[in-house]
Amino acid sequence: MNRPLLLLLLGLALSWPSCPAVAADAPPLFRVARDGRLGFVSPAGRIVVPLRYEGAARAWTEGRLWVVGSVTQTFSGNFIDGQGRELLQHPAAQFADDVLRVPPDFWNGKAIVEIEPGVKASVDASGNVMRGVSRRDNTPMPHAVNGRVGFVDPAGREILPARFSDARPFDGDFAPAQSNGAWGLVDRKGEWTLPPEYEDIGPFGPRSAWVRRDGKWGLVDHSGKALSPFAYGSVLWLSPSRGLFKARRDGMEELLTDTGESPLSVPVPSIDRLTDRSIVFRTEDREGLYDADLRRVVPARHEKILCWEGLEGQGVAVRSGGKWGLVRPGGGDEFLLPFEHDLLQKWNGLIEARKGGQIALFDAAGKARLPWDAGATEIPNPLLGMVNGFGKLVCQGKAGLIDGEGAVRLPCLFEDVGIFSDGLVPARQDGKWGYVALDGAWAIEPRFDEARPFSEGLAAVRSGQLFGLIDAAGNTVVPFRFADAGLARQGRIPVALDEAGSRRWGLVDLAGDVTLPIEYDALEWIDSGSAPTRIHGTVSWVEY
Amino acid sequence: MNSRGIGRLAFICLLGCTGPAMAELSIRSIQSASNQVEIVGAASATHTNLEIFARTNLLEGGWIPVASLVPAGGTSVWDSTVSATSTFYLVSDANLDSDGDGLPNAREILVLHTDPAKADTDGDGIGDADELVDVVAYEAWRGAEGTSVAPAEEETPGFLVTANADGGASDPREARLVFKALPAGCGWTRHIRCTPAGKLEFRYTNESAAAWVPTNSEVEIPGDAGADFIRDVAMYQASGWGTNNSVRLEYVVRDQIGRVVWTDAVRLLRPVVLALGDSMTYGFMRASNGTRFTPPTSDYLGWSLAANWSAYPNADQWTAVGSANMQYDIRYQGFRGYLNTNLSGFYWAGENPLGHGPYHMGYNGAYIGRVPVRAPVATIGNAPCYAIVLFFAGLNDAVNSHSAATMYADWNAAVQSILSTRSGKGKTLVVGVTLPRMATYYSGYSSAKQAELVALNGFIRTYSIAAANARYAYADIENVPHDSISGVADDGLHYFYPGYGTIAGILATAVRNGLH
Repeated sequence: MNRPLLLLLLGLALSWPSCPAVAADAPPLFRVARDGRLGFVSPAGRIVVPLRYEGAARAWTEGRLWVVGSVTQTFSGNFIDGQGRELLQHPAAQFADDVLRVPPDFWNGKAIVEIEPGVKASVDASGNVMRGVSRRDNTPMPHAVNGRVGFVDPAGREILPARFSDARPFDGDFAPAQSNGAWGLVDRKGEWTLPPEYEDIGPFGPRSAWVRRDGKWGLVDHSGKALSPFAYGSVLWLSPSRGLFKARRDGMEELLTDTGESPLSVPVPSIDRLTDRSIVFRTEDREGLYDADLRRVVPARHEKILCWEGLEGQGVAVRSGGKWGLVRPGGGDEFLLPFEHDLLQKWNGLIEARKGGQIALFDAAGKARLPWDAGATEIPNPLLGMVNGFGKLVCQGKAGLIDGEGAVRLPCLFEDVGIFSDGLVPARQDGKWGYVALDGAWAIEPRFDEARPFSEGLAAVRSGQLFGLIDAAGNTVVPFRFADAGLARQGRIPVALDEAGSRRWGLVDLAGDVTLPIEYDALEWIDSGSAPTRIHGTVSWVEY
Repeated sequence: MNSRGIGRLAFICLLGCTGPAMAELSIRSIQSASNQVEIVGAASATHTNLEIFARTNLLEGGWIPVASLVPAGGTSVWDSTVSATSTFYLVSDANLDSDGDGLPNAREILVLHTDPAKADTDGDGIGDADELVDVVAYEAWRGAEGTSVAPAEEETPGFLVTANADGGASDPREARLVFKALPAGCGWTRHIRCTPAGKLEFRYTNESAAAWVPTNSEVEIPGDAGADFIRDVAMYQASGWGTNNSVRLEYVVRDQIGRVVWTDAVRLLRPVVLALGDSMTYGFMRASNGTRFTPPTSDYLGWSLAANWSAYPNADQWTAVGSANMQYDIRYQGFRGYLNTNLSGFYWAGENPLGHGPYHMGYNGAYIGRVPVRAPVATIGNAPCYAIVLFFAGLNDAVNSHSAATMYADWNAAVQSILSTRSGKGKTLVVGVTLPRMATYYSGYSSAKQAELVALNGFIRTYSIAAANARYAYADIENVPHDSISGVADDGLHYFYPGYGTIAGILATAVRNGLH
């Protein structure tokens, strides 16, 4: 997995949580590798699969992982389960998507592999191979036979005989089919529900379908009754879940429901879905907003409109005169935040406001959660920058902590802070790291060159070039002798030693005794309770 | 002949003040020869920036500056374009600009009749100086000139063109310029300087044919100087000009004897499109049975190699670049493909004479985070232009089970990386493209992947950019239906021609919305 440096650093910052519990979605086994060979250890650090494979998929799916015995032999792939057992009696090749390099994965108890050159097969969770089964759902697909088209099931068995001149896949209970050059809809029995009378069929649903006649699109119900005029040059789904379309004619777009209603009183140049419950419409140079009930809640007089999932109906960010403000939908000219911001954007269910390099947080009613006078210039990424409910806050060059509600939980008093865990957070003062409680008092005086979060009662700290482990009182538990050290999990801690110019990884217990020899190029370990794992060291196997 | 001299203090009195006598600043004598007027100013050495204004009709007003940098106590001579029956003002501190609008007080009072104490006399939001050269609607971006972007310009979408500027197909290359009329009867002339010359077409409004291409470094604007000069302008001469995508346009006003009395300048930025992404970005086609139709070798199921698009170079072009092996070299994949069909008027970054190359499009299997690294983003950082970046990445991440949060973080970092490349190089429009839903029959489909994909699309729709000179728009293709032709369905991830055609139209609309 390749990411920009910024994200790499972010990922590293996230890799030291305090949660010792095994995450529900943690992979059953972790990888270890040396000299390009891959094996697996249990979450407690026991070798389950010795170094055997040259490649593997990155992600476990439904408790299975695709592994490859030899990257030079096409048919050397297999799945292993959480006990390290191989599922396939005969190794197979990767098929899922060879163009996009998608490794085989399980979905609904089934994966697709290539068992012989050009022969796809499905594999069930027990490793049983089902020849001829090559798709992942049961949608009947069109299949051409001698110039006629019918439908087949995923196993290739005929569902509907090839009696159509053309057909498209089923969507729900209906599929477009063509007879004598005209299109209609058939049901799963192959019977016409919408007679083949049209030049083409566009989006369709259980209640209606868009059909083309004389070069123009119109909406009809399944009896063929017109629900709109045949006047449109094109039509697209706007929201299938809500039965909304946008149809275009004369260079303008119209909003239509699947019953043919047209909530917009006049056509506009452009319509788009901002969230599933919010539709933005544009006039020549202004934007307005419709809500889930297709009511116009913001008139089209703003340069730009934003609203977000979860905040619909509460506050809508609009830009006018080059500045962003927050208005109440349907509230007329009432604004919740004045038009004075450089940017408004969603932050963890709140609204982040930026103005002249300063940051404040407001709820959707415009009430300040992190006020301007806090002096914030940097807040954490709400998606990835919050660990254990806290993230780093920077105010005028000093660092503190903020929680997910926007409240300052540790004042900005320090040069830098780390990740909060076990009631303590690493903090730096005068270039040295120690640990403070949320009241800002030093629990462990700053004396380290690097400090990482506590986990299972221990934290890795660095003095000079070497890492050791300390307890919450600051006592050294494991002496400073490692080149790197990670997060304790189930009584095991990944540690590294530098030998002959190479860094090797292994595991020690909470007393510092080696439980997995420190001889691996890479060691996969958990990041945090619900986050993905992190590779300590260098990936020497091939990832698919 | 009437003559009158006023000094600095007298001039200030025009602003409603009072002051001591003005004896030290006056016009001592005026001599009129055959076709010359000689004025001897009388001012002490403490006065600087002396200018003389003249007018021929006291009732009509209309002062014009006839001499600048007049030496104190010295003689100024100029030709007979100033009538021998003129009235004269001698003004010192002629560069004084009380309201800071860029127009000296003397010219505001005597020539332009604007308020020297108000930067925006008529309160229409456009500064007095900007009203002299009014770049209507589009770009007057001055960042490359080292000056700040005027607030009014930040509000405008830039130099690029609205849809249907020609009354027909959209032409993205045009802007409409209005060179305001000069004050009546002043005798000045209007000129245009283009640097470089010969790269800017002036067209009659709503016409696509070039009416005038100034090829000299400075040319006089034709027609009546007392009327607005309104033209659409376009830049499109691509040959040999790939790295120079802007024209500095100056509006120059000269007086009767050819001296420059006013200039204003804008840099007109050429739109340059860079599409970044993956196989979707250049139109990879594959059927649900695994058969690939890219690179295409022939027409297929209604898709025409000749009429629609070529995602890859044709056979002759492959031959021209040398080796057939290049067909399998990722660096040579990703010609501009189908996206060009609805944005044909735009200039595409990296376009080269062979019509192919790695410089505009994505490559198979591209992850979001890798796109700015491997794709040639630097091509839009070489020189000022108006970059339009179509960021169409994420399907590979989604089908490889990346979470929406991870994809969004990568996506945001990639966009910021692109904007960093663009720093100081002109305006940028980023068009974020939502990801099309996978069909359930796609071999890599899972409902979990689909849910993450849809969640990412929510971020893409509501993404925002706070950076100066950057704009954001999104193209929503989430619900473009997958294709099936003559009993052959697409692979459920990529499209055939009908689907790609629909996507191209949506992207083109998003580009034009973003430019507004």
